[in-house]
Amino acid sequence: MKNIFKIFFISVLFLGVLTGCGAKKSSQSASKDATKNEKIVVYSNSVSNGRGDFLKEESHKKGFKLEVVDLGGNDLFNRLIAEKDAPVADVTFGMNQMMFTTLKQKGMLSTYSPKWLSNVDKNLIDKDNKFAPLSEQRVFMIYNSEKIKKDKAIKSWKNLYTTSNLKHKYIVPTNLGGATANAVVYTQLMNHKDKHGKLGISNKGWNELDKFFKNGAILSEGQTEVAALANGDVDYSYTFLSNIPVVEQKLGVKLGVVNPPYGVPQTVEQVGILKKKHVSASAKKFVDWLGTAEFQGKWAKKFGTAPVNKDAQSSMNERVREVMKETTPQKLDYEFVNDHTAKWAENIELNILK
Amino acid sequence: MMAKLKKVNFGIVLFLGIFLWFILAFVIIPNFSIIKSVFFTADGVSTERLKAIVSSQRAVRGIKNSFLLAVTLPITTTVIGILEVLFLEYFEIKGRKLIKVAYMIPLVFGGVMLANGYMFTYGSRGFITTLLLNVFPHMNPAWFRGYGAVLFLMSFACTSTYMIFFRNAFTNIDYQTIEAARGLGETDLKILLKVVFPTLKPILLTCTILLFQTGLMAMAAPLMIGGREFETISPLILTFTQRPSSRTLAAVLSFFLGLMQLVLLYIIQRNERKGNFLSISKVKTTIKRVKIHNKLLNALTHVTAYVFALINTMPLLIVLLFSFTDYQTISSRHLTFKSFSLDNYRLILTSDTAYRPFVTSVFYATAASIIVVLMMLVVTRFIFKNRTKFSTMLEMLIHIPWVFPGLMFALGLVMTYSHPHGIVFNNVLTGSLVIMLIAYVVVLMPNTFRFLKASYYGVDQSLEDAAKILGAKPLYSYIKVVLPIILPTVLAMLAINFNGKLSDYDLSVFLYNPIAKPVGVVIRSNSSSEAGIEGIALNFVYSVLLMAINTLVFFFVYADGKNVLRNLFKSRKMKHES
Repeated sequence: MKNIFKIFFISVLFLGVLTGCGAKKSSQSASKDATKNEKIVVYSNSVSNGRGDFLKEESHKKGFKLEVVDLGGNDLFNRLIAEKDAPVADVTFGMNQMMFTTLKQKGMLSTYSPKWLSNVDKNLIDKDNKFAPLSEQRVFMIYNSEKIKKDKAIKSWKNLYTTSNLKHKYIVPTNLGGATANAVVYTQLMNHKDKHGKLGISNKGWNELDKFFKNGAILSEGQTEVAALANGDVDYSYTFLSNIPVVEQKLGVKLGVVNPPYGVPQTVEQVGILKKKHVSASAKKFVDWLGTAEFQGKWAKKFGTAPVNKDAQSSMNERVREVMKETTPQKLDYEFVNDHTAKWAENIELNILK
Repeated sequence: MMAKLKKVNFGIVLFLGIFLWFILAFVIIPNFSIIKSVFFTADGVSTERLKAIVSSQRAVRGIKNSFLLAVTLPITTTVIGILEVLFLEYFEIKGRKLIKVAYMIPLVFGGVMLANGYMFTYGSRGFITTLLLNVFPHMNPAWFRGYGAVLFLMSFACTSTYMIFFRNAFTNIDYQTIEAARGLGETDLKILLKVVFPTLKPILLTCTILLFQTGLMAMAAPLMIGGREFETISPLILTFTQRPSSRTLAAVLSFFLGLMQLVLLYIIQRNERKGNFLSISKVKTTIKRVKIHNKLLNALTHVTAYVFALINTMPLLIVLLFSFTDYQTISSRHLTFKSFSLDNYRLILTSDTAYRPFVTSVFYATAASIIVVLMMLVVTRFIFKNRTKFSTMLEMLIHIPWVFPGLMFALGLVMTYSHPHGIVFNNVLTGSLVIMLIAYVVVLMPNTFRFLKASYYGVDQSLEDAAKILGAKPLYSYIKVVLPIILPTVLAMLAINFNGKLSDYDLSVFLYNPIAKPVGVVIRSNSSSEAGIEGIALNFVYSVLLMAINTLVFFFVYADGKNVLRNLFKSRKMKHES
């Protein structure tokens, strides 16, 4: 009997608290427009592993109040689109130019050119100023350079599935959710562009990709692409630029990087301000600060990024600089990639990953 | 008579009105709007997408595999679950208390972490595999894969419903019927089959539906140990839902799932109408455990009971062990004495961004679980008492969340309420704090409904009639007579719902408010390779902490932990005084 009353009591209590929260929330958002130094909600896929805490600390010194939301690249993108009509985020950064282009096409970004834009290579800048570049990212094949000598290493993606003793000795993406996995796919497909082919790619291109996936090894859960390489499960794997210094230190391996004759995909991570009824002045100020040489330099030193702000490039991690020299950006029609990437991924998931 | 009816109806009519509004606003409209956005494009209905699914070998095989798992899982789990209950409650087994603890493990240890635990035990670098490789050096180290492995893991992991509901119903059986049968010279087996199990039919049916559904929707286990050989449909749906342009595919695949569930539901409902046996002891005679006299059979029973306990315990211990190690150890699985440290725990417990998600999730899970149980108590009672067309329709409505995968429903909710909508009085719900709570409540409805309904079958109508004759008002007799009988189920439902939503990801990822991030989202973002490599080590700690919370909840809510503690304290005090 007592128990029943306990349940009722607790539930009434919770409902009370709950309505309280709801009320608080609405008053909060009402006062939001009025106060000057308001909270900035930042959505990002580049704030995990302590990066978010570092960002909060550094921005706090400058008087910003941040609410940082940490989401994987794909979740982030989907969430932004789902919230299209009632955006929660003020600023988002970390996604590549292709994802930002889609947001732009959906009319979700507001125009702003940050103060530091003059320090950036003009070719990287969005002509409508809906988003602005922060750092470069590259995706490439890696191997354990203590086990395989540089001149013995393979030269391109194709070698993975044409060399017989590499069968099931290289990691292939398990799904096409992440930006890195997508880059692994389009860097190969874009060598087989064909107007009349299926989804803009020739039959030969699809067959080669099929072989690539069939002969590869998939990652077991709880393992990362680099760890599988480090503990000797496979000979080749892939990763992205800013990950190199981090994993080399953590896993105690020295990685070799493969630069195919056609180069490696290079994307640029961007920052943008979301279009709202009232775009806050502090969101703009925050973006002005985020891309400064001062902050980008610190960020690069600590987390291995390759900033596009020329004044910050001197702070780049030595290893990152090395890898950038070793690889050349692939000449890609990113507009074409962006238009097709979803269809390609779907086709691969339905008909190639068997 | 008329007056009496009116009196009863006023409160319930109001409640049902609100409930129907809730269903319309938060079940029907969001799901309908997502279907509309997916299937009916500007050019009309798209059939081309259906073709894409049917012509994809992978998708078709996924559907087949899911169906296979859904059909076989109820069988294997029922066998294991019933055996476990018999080991605990029917047969005399030595060391019963210890194996009881082992059998309770699936209640608190589930999902991705459980699959991880099994991987670390039986996987290619796992503990058992390493042992086996010493004996049989030529065996395939990756033997624990595919359909068999998934079925094995899930059969043990899904026994939790048996441990709670079936066991509860079993111990409530009128022991005199068993004694009578024994007096008539029946064997143990025949007594179980002819006397015991028929009375447990409602609960068995509910468990079957639940297991069918679990098998159909299985995500973590097929993904992690099924491998490419045994892919099921849910991971595919997840992948497709996450890409806006592929959502039609997700919707099509979900419909296959929904269809299978509806068929099952229809069969079960027809079966339920045929009537149920009732055997609740009015004069409480508790079951006496029987000793097996046949020596061989007795030994066999003991061995089986212990092996089951071991299978349940090992993965848990291994996860616990690895939560104290660093990332290198987890990826290489080479344990040395040096690899142990408390660093992971320190990192999580001292950083405020790390423990805040726990507080958030505990709050949401508690609120959702209480609201849904209270709501379903009333609705179930109404449906149980009124067998009309309206109540059948209501029952169908409650089951809608079963048919749509959580991700899809969450998307529908976000899209529908991202702008003012009349049905919710022109409020914008997207980005608010309540929307995630609403979603939790909605998806918890069907299971809560089923179990509460099954428990109402266990209430002897004559008890209620007696109360009525003695002049008790309906509400009073309900609280005094009915509720105490179904209370174990109510409490168990509270605990299960809480534990189920504590680490939810599918719904939360689209719905949470930035200031209240739930722990499931944190865990998932830790495990993606984008997040870097420390996340995996931290996830072991998160799961251990989640397990601790789950265990506490079961201990206090279900196992009456407060009294256990009080008694412990009392006896100590008494000792002290003497």
